[in-house]
Amino acid sequence: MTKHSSIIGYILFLFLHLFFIGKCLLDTSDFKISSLLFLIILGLLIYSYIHLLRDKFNSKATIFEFLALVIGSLLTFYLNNYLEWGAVLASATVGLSGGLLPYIKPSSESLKSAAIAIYCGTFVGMASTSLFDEIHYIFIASAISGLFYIYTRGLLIGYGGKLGSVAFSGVLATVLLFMLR
Amino acid sequence: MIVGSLYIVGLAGALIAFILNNNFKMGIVVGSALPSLVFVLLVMVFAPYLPIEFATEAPVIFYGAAFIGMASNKILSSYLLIGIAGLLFTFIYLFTSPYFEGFGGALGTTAALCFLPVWSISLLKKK
Repeated sequence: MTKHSSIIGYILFLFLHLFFIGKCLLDTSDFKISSLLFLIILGLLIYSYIHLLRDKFNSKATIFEFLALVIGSLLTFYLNNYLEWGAVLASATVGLSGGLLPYIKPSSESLKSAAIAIYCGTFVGMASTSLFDEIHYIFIASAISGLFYIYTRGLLIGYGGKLGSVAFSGVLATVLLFMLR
Repeated sequence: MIVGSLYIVGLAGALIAFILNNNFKMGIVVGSALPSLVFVLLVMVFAPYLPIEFATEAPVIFYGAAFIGMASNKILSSYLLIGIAGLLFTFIYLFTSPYFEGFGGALGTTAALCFLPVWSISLLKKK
């Protein structure tokens, strides 16, 4: 990944995070202590991105990881909504099952990567049928998250919340593209 | 009382996952999914004896806070700051859950919004 590409990746992450926090701030009717705390978080968030934008990474994901993410998403969505396991139980079960894959062959980097991609996919699959009432929406959300995962594979490694942000990108993009028309 | 216990759940979720991930070398996936699964199953078993609000919200908060614990100790090594991020998670979750209900990835995004500001504090402390 070039410096230019990593900057675009970080800007996309920043957009997602600003959207999330902005939604909370804008929906607050009056200024309270919680609004002040959100503003502090916003300031620290922007400071962290100023630091992150100096980084450059060279890491590529594979189509195998893309497919692992989509499978993790669809399986979780099925368990969550059709078998009514609930989002947390479905995601943690599929994620843990995927997380055990590297124990089959500890030397395999592909299995380690697949486990992480499956786990990221499970976060997409936590979406409910009240949001994605037709099955093709979850396919689209998974595919967008998968592409974003591949593009940002080398960014924010070791930072908590990265995989969830990748999952959120696909869900948000699908909602913005198809549901707010 | 219940809200206070949800803050403790957030703190515990972040710290337990962080310790399993980094100290016990379980890795990011097993380190966060395993304790979350155990916690969810425990809450399901004891749900009849727990307040409804706690039984509904606590598993989600534990799971989301566990995403903070997926952080590497090479990036942030302070247990105190990870704990603060866990507390912050509960605060943001309780505030934002009505807006992003049913949104996949919202918990992870909230976790990032807790981790990155706390990481910024560690950067400012180093200066």
